[in-house]
Amino acid sequence: MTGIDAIASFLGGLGLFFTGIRSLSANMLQIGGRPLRHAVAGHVSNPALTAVVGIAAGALLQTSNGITFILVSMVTAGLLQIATAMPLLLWANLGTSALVAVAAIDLRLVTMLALGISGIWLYIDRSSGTTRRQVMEVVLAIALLFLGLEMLRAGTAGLRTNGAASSAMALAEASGVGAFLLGFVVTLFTQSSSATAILAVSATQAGLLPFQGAVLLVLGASVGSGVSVVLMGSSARGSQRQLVLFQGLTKLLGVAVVLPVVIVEDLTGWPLLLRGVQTMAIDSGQQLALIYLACQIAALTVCAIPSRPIRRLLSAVAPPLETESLARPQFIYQAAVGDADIALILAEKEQTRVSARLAPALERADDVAAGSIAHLCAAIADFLASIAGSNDGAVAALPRAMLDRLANLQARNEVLRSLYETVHQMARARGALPPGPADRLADALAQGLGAVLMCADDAASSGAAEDIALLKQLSTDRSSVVDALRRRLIPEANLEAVDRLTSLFERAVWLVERYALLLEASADD
Amino acid sequence: MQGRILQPRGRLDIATYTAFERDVLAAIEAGSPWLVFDFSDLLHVSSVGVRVVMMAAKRLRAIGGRVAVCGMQTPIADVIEVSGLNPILEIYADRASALAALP
Repeated sequence: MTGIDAIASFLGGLGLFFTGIRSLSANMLQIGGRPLRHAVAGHVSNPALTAVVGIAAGALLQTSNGITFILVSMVTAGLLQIATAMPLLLWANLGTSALVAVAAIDLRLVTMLALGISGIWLYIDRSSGTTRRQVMEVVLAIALLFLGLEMLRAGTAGLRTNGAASSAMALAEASGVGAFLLGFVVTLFTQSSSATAILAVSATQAGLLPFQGAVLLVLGASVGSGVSVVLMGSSARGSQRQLVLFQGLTKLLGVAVVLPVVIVEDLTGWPLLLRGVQTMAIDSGQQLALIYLACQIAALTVCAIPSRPIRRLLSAVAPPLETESLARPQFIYQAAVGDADIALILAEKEQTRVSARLAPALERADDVAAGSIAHLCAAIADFLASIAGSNDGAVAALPRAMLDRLANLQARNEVLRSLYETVHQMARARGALPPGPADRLADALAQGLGAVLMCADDAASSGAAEDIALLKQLSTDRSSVVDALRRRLIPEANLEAVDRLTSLFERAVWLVERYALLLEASADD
Repeated sequence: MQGRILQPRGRLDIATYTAFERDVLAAIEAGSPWLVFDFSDLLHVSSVGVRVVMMAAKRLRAIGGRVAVCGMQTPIADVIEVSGLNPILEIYADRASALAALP
């Protein structure tokens, strides 16, 4: 093979490889993203299933960075706790080793068959967006990836003596630091340590890269992957940032364990990791795949054992946002459902977190906080439904008094949810008003209602009869008061925004009255 | 025991209400049987300010005391009315009228 042939084969192979791996991840994220979310939501409580789901996700999606951001979205949406997302991510990293291991095997025949079948299928099948077509696109992507590797192997053989491209590999051969940096830089570009590891496997099998240089290149790739995910998630905040930093830390700690072992083995000649993988596999590419696997296992072990200190560190570096804390229940937890008496007390305390946010919600329309409160109310409603046994259709065997209290709390929850939504809408309507008489009316309504909402929170927190009695007095019908105010301040009384604002105010007062009556009924019981 | 007259000035909002609340609590804890809030120098009242008036009304009513408000300018009167406090408070045009009505 001439120099130009080798370069063409190398570049063509690289292009096919990158196209294949990008297409594989994109299609697998489309096909597997939803099942992954369902699997995660359904099985996260079981550690063994967490491991299975994590490994399967890593092996199939082949992008630990992609999985990181799926989990980030789920944590943000409140579908997953960060404490559960972390072990999933560790297992997913392990799962990405699968493709590296497969790449070390000679799959020329299978590659050509897959390429033929998928290519012909996609030519005949004109449908778009179907799962069948996406599966075939995945098969084609895998075939392109392996075909690219074959071309790379052929091209790298020619590059041993020719071409400027060999200078990078020569750097890796001459210096361990150079190999490490090469792996780091290539991964910043590919954003996938498994992709870089697969390239290293091919280069080693073609004899272009010495085994020890390839090991350091794989370790550099792991650090590069960690840095790349942190860079990609640089805009993340709170729990999102914690998860992104955790993925970066995982990669770094895996290398921090493996690299000293490799250096000690190199300096002393003691039979450690490198000798170990050499006894497990003859082929240098397979040995490298085992090193990649060892790096993921090291990260899994280091991060899984001291998970609490790591979580504390991440919480200190990237504290949860106020809105995240708001959405997360602080008192209720599923295991408490068994003791209905305690569970109802916890639910009532959780509701006071909603009532405390009513008055501040009037000051500024905060859509994120509104979403958090809606999520918290839904969590309380689910919890109360679990106490009632209505989630699984069973009839709760609760005493009558407790059933009354449960029904009261359910009704209060619904009133609080509606009240918060009304107050939030009022803040939005108020924010949209230009300065002038309408704005002055809005301010009077907001300040007056704010005081009533604070009184509602006092009554809910204390449960004292005098607080509830005051709240009842303050929540009597205000339609005549508001109407008079509107007529005086706004001559053109049919102003749409003002009408909306005043009707929201009247609804809020009506809801407060209902809330006061429910508090009173609860106190009487 | 004498009642107390409290006269906040300017704005009664999140930045200023704590001092006002401290004065109100001190008066109640000192055993004042009534309080007069003279709002004639008050330009703006926010929800936290209204809450202090509510708290004073609740605590004094519980021990048979009285709370009067006087000298309210229109924007202040609007907020107090909207908050539903009018039936709970004794409202007078000025300080002299309030003091004349209280023991």
